[in-house]
Amino acid sequence: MREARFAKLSAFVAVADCGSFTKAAAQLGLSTGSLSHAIRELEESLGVRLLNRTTRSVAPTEAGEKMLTRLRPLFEDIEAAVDEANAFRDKPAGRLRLTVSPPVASFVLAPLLPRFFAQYPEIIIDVSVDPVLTDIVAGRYDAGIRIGRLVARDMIAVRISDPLRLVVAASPDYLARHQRPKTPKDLQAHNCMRLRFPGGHIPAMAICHRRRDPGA
Amino acid sequence: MIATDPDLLVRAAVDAVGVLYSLWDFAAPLITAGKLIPLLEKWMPPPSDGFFLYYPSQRQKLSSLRVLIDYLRTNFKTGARAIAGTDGQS
Repeated sequence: MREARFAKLSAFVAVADCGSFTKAAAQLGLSTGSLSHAIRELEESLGVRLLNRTTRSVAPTEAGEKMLTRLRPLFEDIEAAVDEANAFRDKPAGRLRLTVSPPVASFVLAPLLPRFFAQYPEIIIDVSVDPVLTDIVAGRYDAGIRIGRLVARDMIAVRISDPLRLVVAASPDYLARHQRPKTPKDLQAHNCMRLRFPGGHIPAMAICHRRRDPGA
Repeated sequence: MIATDPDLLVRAAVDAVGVLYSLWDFAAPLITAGKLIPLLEKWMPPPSDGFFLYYPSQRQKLSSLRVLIDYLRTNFKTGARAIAGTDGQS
């Protein structure tokens, strides 16, 4: 009985956080039908409506909001307690929720994860590939991986790679048909293809204007 | 041409659409395969920036996160290190 109520309360927090029954059901590994049934049972047993459902969205009622402000820290405490217990295990386990940019997914995770899983079979990595910078705390992620040091409050940044090298390159076919650039100035005559970063920032071509010492 | 997807830019460069300006790592396999030729190498700035993992300070004690960080720091080699010494000549 107590356990069933705990599960329903946790389902309620998930629906409120996701703002959607479908998303919360996917997160909890339930069907949307059984999730919405569980919430209805919870509301009936309390005699209070906790969520306002419209065809487009789900939002907590005033009573629901009040309950959420007390439930959220409790559930975070429970998660922390479980994490702490996990720290005593020989083999780390559990779900790790990551938000990464598309280049990180293909250039960092894809080549490195197979051996990681071989080493830590009990860790489940749950990756969300987001082209736009995501709020780690609001999205309830455990960590994010991006290019560049992110400055944010209460956030710890760890460098996981060497400094990155840049390259200007073209195909042999292209070079056969166009004048090969000899100095950075020559690039003005070419279609220079470069990356736009999340948020619309297009980094300037950071090419030194002076030829670097060949020995450097 | 400007795009948010490095794969698209690299692909377009291989297809002779223009000159690619990118992180070495995104183009590395194609440079090795001879499908892209590095240009202006003596003008390129020294390597900078890098990949960073960041996490909320309250996640510090998460043991699975600690092993992931240790694993990535030990095993993730970018072109800057892998190619050091050969200066990208292939």
